[in-house]
Amino acid sequence: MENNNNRQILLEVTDLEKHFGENKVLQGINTTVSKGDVIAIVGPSGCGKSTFLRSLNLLEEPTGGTIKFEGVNITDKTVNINKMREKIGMVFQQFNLFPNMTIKKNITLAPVKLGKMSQEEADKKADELLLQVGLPDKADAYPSTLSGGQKQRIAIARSLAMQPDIMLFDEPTSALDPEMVGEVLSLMKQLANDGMTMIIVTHEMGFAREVSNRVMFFYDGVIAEESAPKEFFDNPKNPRLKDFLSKVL
Amino acid sequence: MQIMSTFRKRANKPLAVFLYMTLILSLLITGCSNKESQTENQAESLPLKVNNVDELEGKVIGVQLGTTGDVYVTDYEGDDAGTVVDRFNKGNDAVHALKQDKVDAVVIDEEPAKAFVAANPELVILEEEFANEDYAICVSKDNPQLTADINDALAKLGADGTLDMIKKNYTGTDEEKGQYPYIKKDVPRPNGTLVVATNGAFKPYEYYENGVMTGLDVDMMQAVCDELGMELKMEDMEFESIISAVQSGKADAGAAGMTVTEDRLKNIDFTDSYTNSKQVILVKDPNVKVEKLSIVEKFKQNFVEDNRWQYLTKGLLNTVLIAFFAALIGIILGFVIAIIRSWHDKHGGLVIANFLCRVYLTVVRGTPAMVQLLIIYYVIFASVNVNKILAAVIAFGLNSAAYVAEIVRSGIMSIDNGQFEAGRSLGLTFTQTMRYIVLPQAFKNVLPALANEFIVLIKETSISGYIGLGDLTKGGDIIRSTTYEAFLPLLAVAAIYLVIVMALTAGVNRLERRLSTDGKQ
Repeated sequence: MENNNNRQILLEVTDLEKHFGENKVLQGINTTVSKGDVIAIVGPSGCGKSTFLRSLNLLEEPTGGTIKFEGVNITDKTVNINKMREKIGMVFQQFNLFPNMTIKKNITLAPVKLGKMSQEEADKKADELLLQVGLPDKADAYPSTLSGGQKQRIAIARSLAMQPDIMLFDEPTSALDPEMVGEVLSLMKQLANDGMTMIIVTHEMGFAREVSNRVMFFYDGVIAEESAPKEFFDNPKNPRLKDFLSKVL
Repeated sequence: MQIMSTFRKRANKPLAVFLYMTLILSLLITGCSNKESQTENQAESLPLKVNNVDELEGKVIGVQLGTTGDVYVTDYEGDDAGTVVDRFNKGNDAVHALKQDKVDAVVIDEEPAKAFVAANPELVILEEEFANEDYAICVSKDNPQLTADINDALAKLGADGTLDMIKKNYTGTDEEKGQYPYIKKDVPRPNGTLVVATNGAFKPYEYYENGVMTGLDVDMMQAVCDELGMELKMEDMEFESIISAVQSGKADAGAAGMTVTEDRLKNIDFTDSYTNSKQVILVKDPNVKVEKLSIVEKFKQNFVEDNRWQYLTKGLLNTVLIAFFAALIGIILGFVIAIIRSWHDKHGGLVIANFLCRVYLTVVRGTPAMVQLLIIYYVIFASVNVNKILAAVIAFGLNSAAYVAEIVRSGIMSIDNGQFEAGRSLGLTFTQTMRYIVLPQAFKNVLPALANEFIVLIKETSISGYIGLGDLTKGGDIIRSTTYEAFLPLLAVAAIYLVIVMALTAGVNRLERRLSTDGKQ
């Protein structure tokens, strides 16, 4: 990948494996992610794409292999994983907003409790982020009063408040009503344009094609094919990918 | 009545008030009608149910648990005539049962029997005595020196006539009674404190008057302490607990009109006898008309005279103290156990801690609270002279923690794992995620179950009397044992528990409403 050469490498994944008992979900993943990459991961359900994403911040503990983030092997038990997670934002399919807190508190909780900002600084940052995600009037609302699309935009703002170096999106629009998918995708597109490094597990092929610079096809726990989006969608090589694309496009 | 006006103030809950009023009214009616039926039975002369020792066979006999009366009567139990022995924790309770015809006769020590008859004209003592016996002070077998010292003191008090004066003061003729009160001597007391276990519902040997324990045994022990140069501290407890209290060192000696028996001698030493007594048979004379006290007079007798209401207020204070601090221990320890168990469930790890927690939960939830309380006080703190309230707080706290732990754990389990993952993915530690995200939500979900647990805890403290602690229930018991009246003291105690529980429920409801509006603004 010649266009990566002069950019800083953020993530290096080597021989990553994850087994759930007999079930080998990841069977040796090797890849690197450079700063500014926007990687879309597609594949049929059960192929291991979500498990891969969740392994990157150790929500799933890998069975084998290593993950280096900014030069640190985070699979090493002696590494303080909490410190590393501060730099790895994550957005979930189910949003996972904290229902017992206001929107503002959702956003400011982690930066304040982890000593990254004072409450005043965090409040200011939250106001900026709410403006950025287009929900400045929701600061004092509770999550239960928001629509799905609004919840996901708040979840993105919450992750951004920690000023991460990379953002992981685990099917961020799969739980949304169709009319709300657009607002979330356009926010993600805006983030990508601002230069955020992103890995997105998604079923939105149009979005993957338009926004990402690399697309990965996961099949049976390995990266079965990877290429630039135009090549990926126009000229797929792996017969499994051809089959998959014929079903989803 | 005071109790009723308390309820009237809660007019914002008309249904609840109506129900409680109905309850209390129906109790009042039952209480009064009992009395009436007693007075109706006097048209013709009725025979006594038991006239002599031989007639005890086939009857229902009441005794105080662990007394010599119990020991003797046990021989009748299970005989062909079908004799039944009902064992009561207090002589008083046995007499109550007799008055209500629940037992046919009560076998009890002579002097208390006389006191009961004096207070209850419908009772009679049969002339034929049941057994003769000697009273002595019990001392641990590990402490022969104390036994010897008390014997020396008793010998001296016997020689100089002090002991006789004390006996006359309590068990003498009507002219002699009350004429020879023992005055505590002003002597130096360099030899520490003598803790004496007793059971303060055994008039005239030990009983409460104006909130202070008094009686023949109390005066005698004071005289002995004056001889020994020691301070006297009387510890009130259940009669059957006295020997174990002395054995375990909770008390140095026991003086409770205790008869020397062979079984007791196996476990404990006795001093020389200081007086002798008889076991007599107490029966109810169905022909005696009972003077009917009005409810106001009864109220005065039970609560106003001798400031008896103070037994309830002091007891209430202890009950509230115990329940509050036990709840505090329960919450803290319960949350810690719940978190250890959840950590184990989520992460594996903490295998040993999780195992210990599970053993703890199994043992505590698998045994009765009363047994736990007795074990804490008489076994675990056997050699330490621990404050009873502290022992009760620890026992009830440890008990409650087990239930709180499982309630909180179920609350943690009810929170979607996504909440936990969201917290951790932001960089929060396990503890921070628990504290700021999971536990507040879990707490809200389990609040009704927790409130229920604390309601149970408050009422469960009523077994504190088993280690001689003066809680609310015990306060009512003391009044009962002085006034020989069960209805009003029990009703008052029940009403006070009810008010505490209602107040707690109201508080929890408010908290619940506040927490639930939080998520819906």
